Amino acid sequence: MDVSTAVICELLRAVTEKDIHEEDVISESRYLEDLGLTSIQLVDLVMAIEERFNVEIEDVDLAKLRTVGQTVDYLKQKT
Amino acid sequence: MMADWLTSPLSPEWLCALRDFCGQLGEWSHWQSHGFYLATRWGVLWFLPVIPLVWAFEFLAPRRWWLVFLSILSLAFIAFGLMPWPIDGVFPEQVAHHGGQAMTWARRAVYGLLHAAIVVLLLVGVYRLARTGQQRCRQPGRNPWHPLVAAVLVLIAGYFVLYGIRSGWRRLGEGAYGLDAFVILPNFHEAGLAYVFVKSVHYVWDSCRGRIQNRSWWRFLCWMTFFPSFRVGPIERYHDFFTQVHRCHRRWRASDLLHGWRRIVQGALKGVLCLFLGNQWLPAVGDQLADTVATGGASSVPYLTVWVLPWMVLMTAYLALAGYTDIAVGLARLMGYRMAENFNWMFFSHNLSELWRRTHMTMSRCLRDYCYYPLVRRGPFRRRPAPGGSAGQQVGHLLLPTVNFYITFVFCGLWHAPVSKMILWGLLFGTGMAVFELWVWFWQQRVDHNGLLYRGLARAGLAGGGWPQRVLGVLLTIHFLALSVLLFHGPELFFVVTRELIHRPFTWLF
Repeated sequence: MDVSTAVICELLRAVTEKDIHEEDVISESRYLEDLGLTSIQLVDLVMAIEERFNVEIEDVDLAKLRTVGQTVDYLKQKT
Repeated sequence: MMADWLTSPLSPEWLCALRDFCGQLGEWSHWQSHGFYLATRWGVLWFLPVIPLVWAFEFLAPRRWWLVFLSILSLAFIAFGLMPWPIDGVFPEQVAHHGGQAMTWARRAVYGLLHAAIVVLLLVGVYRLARTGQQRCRQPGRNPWHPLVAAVLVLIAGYFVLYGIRSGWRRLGEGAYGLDAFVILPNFHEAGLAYVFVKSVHYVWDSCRGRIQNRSWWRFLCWMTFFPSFRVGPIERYHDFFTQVHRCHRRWRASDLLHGWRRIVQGALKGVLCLFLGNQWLPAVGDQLADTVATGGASSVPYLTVWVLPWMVLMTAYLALAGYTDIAVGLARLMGYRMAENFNWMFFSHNLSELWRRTHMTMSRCLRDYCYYPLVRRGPFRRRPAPGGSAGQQVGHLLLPTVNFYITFVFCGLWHAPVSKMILWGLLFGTGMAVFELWVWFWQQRVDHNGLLYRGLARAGLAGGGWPQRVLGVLLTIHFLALSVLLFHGPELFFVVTRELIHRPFTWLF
């Protein structure tokens, strides 16, 4: 499956149940600081990503996924 | 009427707590001088003359000997720091045991080497544990998480047992037999056991997960004992450390030297400031408080003093750790290494979550990666998807994972010192984080963003990330931290100071 900011945005909408517009999410958007996710919502997002892309994300790798762009790059490497 | 609360008399509980607090000040000021103490005895200012030797070896010796050289140098540092030091009053018991300066330097050196050898033995144990854990994790048909969890539990048990052995030995030595207790067994707390423990968990965990491939003994020893960061961190990850070692070998720049010196001077100044706060300012405030206690409340302590008290405690603790970090980072930079930072403008955090991303960062990252995330993803109180597949944004679904905050922060408290007051500190911070999580959830999920309330607050800047909201957040966060640090000195002090701070402004009302 193609990994893109749009897909991450869709997953963000699912885990936060908020109406997040694609134009508001850029590659540099940080989950905790810019998008206002809590730590539990971040874990929700990781679980959703794992399920969608059928990958396993190590706990220590979560620190690398601070922004949408970093997540996209990480998933491109993994898939 | 409003001004009455500023001069209102103190309650009896408050006076009792202050009296106890003043009683502790003498001992406490010794502890608070740690900033300077770390910078001199343990720190690495003593090792500055060794730096030219390090440079010479780096250039002249074969590269394969570099890690061995660094390890031996670091072990010399550990032996130096663990020698009995009856000079600075930090451990007056030692002075009593050895009759002041009666112990010869040769004997001290022997004890220092003996203690360093005990530290190496402990490290051998950790190294073997990581190897065994990795082999068991690779065995076919075995759940790889079971050996990992078992290995980490062994480390946790070992950490607390070592603390217990030390304090038990101390009581035995002091009370029953008058043995030379302080020199027979190393003071593990002084030896940086807490940081060795965190690094051990990182090493064992990553080895078991197959993330550390090159696991030679000298690499392990060099990373574990790296002398600038051995005693109080920063906690450098294994891969990050060797990235620096390989990148920086025989590459120095003038900017590194300048930056290194700047950080060392900066750290030493923080240590001196910490010493001033601990030995001059705090005792002065303590005398003032003692007068108040003696006169039974006839002269009341100003509200400002009550408010400043937690700040002083917080600042001294911050200066001690930040000062040492500066010196450690500066010394490593003189060798060309860029170590991880521990603080990033922590006093400007506008919520508790951000506070932990800016405070003692290397430790809080380890807590997050090796405690919080595994718990919230795989632990008994893990985040579970709601029926139907959605993540579940009902409050009931959120309450269970917040238990992990309590576990994480109680563990963090016990890591600082395995005593009951640190459990209280962990519960307080766990509650703070849980409340923050639910607060964000409430404003995200339950408040209509087009409603009158939200729009009104947003217009006033109190919602939607406006600057008044951020300023309010910063003030609340830092006061929460300052008050929570009082728990380090006992729950009574925390409760009465908090009560007075909240209650006194409203005495005119009630």
